[in-house]
Amino acid sequence: MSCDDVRAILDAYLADELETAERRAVTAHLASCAGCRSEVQAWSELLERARALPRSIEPPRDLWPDVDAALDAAPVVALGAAPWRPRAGLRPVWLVAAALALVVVTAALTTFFLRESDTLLARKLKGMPGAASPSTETRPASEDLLRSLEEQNLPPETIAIVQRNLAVIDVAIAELEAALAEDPDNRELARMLVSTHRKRDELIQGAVRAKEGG
Amino acid sequence: MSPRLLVAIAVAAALGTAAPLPGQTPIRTGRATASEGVSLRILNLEGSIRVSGWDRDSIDVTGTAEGGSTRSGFYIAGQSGGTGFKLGMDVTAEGQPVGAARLDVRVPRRSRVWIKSNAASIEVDDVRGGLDLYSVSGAVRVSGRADQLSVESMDGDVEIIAASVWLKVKTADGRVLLEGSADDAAVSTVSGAIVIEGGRYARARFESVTGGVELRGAIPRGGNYSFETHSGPVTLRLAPDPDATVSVTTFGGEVRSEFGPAPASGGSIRLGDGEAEVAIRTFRGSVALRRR
Repeated sequence: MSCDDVRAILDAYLADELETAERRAVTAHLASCAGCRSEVQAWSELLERARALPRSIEPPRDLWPDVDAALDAAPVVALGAAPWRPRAGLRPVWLVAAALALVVVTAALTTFFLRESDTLLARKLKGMPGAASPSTETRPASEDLLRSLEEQNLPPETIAIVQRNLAVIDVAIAELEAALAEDPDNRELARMLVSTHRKRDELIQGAVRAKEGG
Repeated sequence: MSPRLLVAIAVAAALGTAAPLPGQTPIRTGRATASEGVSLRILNLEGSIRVSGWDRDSIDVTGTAEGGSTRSGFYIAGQSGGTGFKLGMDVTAEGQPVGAARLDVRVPRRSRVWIKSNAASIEVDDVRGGLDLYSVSGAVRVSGRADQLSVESMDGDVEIIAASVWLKVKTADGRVLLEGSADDAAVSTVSGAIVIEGGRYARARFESVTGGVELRGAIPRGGNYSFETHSGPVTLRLAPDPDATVSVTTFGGEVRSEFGPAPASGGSIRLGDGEAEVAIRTFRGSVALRRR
């Protein structure tokens, strides 16, 4: 079994969904391949940390006074002839607070996962010209990866394809992360998340191939 | 020049002014003897590349530079009767093509062929020793028998109408059409649609993030198929009287079935004797089991 074969079924391996013979083959490969072993370790750690995420994150208490003051100072804007009316007992200000809390939670989760995926992807990129140095491993993954690609002087149209598809994948990853935060023990979601991260890796690797010589 | 490095090429028409790289002879057309299991690396970034397997121990190349250029920059390098050849169009130091070309290459049927293209279309017919095809935006088409087949395209569409032992296809935006057979098949896209037009695959895995995945036809008895998308719809248009156990997992996708009640997420539906195994997973892509 080659490294490519192992990577193709890595998510199923991590989710313990492989048949016995296939699992044995992967295990045998891992025993002799430090690279794949390191990748499995990295993904396992990511999944463990994803499962350990809190179901919600409270915004800092000192955030609210500023928000409240800003809301008081904001002009009232008419939204149309039939304005939306809140249900009795639910003040708009609390709805805004809930929305802000949601933004904070989403931002925190996104930051967390970007850092994690950044580290993994930065490891992969270490061998590439212009790859991120260890000191920059915590920068947003897309920026680092795209910078690496740009440094390889890829045609702009190739970069555009990568950017377009990275955006698609990142939306999917964000949705999976949010779902996993709601249901951290869901193995299927975790497996999908790993699988989607793998596609992200493969997209970058595919773009790098464009620069390989003949 | 050392005999071992001699490029054994019958030059039909030598090309004019392009400066040859060391060990490379610029030609417009040529032929070289080659061993049966020869390996070829073909590089042509713009234009088209067509490779066909034939029952001869030689490589035959014909080509034209597009736009009537006399500086085609074409090269072929190798060794008489050898096991390795390189051919294609030169690129500049910046990696830009010196020109577009249409290349028509005939190779021993058991050859192993590696092709790289940027916008050039790639077409391969009946080359059985192993194919590794890469394109950024050019379309890729493979037909005949291709025992080991790996295709990667960023934006180009991929069409595989071939019998393989194993095949692997990856695209970003590019659409994928499969019509053939393989013991193992793995197809993955980001947003490109995947259509499996019949065929027989012992083990197959079809994945996309937002692209739709559609199977039209039968699932062979004993087959093991897996479909996975994030938001792309998965549609199985199954031939009459299917024999498959279809399991469905979705977190937000609608599930519909024309074979009785649709299975709930996490559940399965047994069709016929349930011989083949089909697993469908989506995050929020819809799932439809339809009669063909």
